[in-house]
Amino acid sequence: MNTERLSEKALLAECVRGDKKAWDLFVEQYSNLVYHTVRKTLDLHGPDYLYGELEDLHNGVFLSLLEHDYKKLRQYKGLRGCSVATWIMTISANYTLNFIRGTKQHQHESLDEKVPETGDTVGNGICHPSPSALEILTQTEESDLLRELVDGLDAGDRLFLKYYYEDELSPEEIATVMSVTVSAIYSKKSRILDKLRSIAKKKRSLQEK
Amino acid sequence: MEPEDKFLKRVLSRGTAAKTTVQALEGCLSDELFAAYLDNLLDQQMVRSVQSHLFFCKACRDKTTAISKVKAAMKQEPLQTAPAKLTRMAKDLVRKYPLEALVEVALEFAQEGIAILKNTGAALFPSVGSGTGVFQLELARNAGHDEAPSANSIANMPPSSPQMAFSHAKAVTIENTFGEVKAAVTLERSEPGIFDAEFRLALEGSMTPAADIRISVFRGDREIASQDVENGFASFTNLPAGSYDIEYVGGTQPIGKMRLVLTEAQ
Repeated sequence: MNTERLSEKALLAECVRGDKKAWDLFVEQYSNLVYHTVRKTLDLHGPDYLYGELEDLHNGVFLSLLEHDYKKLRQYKGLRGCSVATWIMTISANYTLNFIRGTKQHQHESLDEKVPETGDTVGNGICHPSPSALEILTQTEESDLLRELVDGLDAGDRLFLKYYYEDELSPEEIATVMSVTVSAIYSKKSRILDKLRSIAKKKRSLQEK
Repeated sequence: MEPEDKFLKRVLSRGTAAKTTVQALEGCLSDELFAAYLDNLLDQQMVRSVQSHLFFCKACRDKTTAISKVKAAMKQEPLQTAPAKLTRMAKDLVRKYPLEALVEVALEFAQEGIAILKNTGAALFPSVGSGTGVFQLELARNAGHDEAPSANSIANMPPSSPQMAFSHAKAVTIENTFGEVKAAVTLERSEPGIFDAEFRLALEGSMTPAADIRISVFRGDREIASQDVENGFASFTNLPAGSYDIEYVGGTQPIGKMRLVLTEAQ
């Protein structure tokens, strides 16, 4: 078999069949990408002392592809033209993030105090005294208002709400993660606030009638 | 900050889920879906589904944020080269020439003893469970066999022979000789479906512990554990039921291989 001429998908298929030459070629092709991704993920998200784990993480990514009878390698379908490189990069970053999270959890387990659980629905927070109409809403009104806003937004705008207000990402970060320009993020925000204003206004006028 | 901003910040920063009629994907995103989403390869309908899922799933949202940052940072610099040692180690995860198994043993563990489904090895020695004091070799599913056969007769038993069992036995030791090395592996069930394997290696015909030997445990083509023999001893614990290839390597050369099938009686 001439593994040099195989397409990406065919190369994976040969690896799954247990072809050693195909596996070597696969490793040769993606070793640098895995290494770079693991390293960058540690740079951005991991504490310095985890650099010592770089070698194990590199090996662990490849091992994770082989585990359970090549389960991961079998899962690749080339969805919408998704390249093996992008897929491998995602797997490598994800593998490293899981490792970082596991290490952090392990370290902080004994230090953490149990935080009392909060309610699981919108609108049960206590409002700070404020003259704004939006800040003197009852819990039910808050909940209704948010539901109406969320239901009226498209998926991208809803996700923006989470990124901006809950996850507290900057507009630049949101632009990166949503693959849009920063100005598109600002106009998204202004559109959402307009919408919220109009819903609040509508509700107020209904209450006044 | 505008009042609307404050309102959304206050309500959403509590990390609470908005009650909504929005439908989202069931289950978290696969690696490939993640990759396709981050690469802008999905059609609008799929993008909406993914984004609706991300709205509800904090774990996937965090993952998307983290990975997209990594991706953006990687674009800023040329690909780093992995040390050759790492590439070689990754290649070695799949072996080149599978070694033929010299010995095959299949055991079925049950509460009341151990059944031998196959054994091409040299000997089998049952160990007695604590408190029972007695064990005997008997036919498991073939009544009327009064006399217990010897361990050697089991070793030479053809595969078509009736199944046999060590009643009350908790562990079994299998002995084999590979070249100048005599290997004894004791297999014990630590809990249902989980097994421990203890290896003792000595030079044939003596009590001298074998040196410079590495034992590797494979499942299929993949090495799952490996250990250098120290003072003639090595052990592997918490092996789930399944089929294993045990490879003995002396120096750099494989000197023997045993295929081991461990099962739990249903």
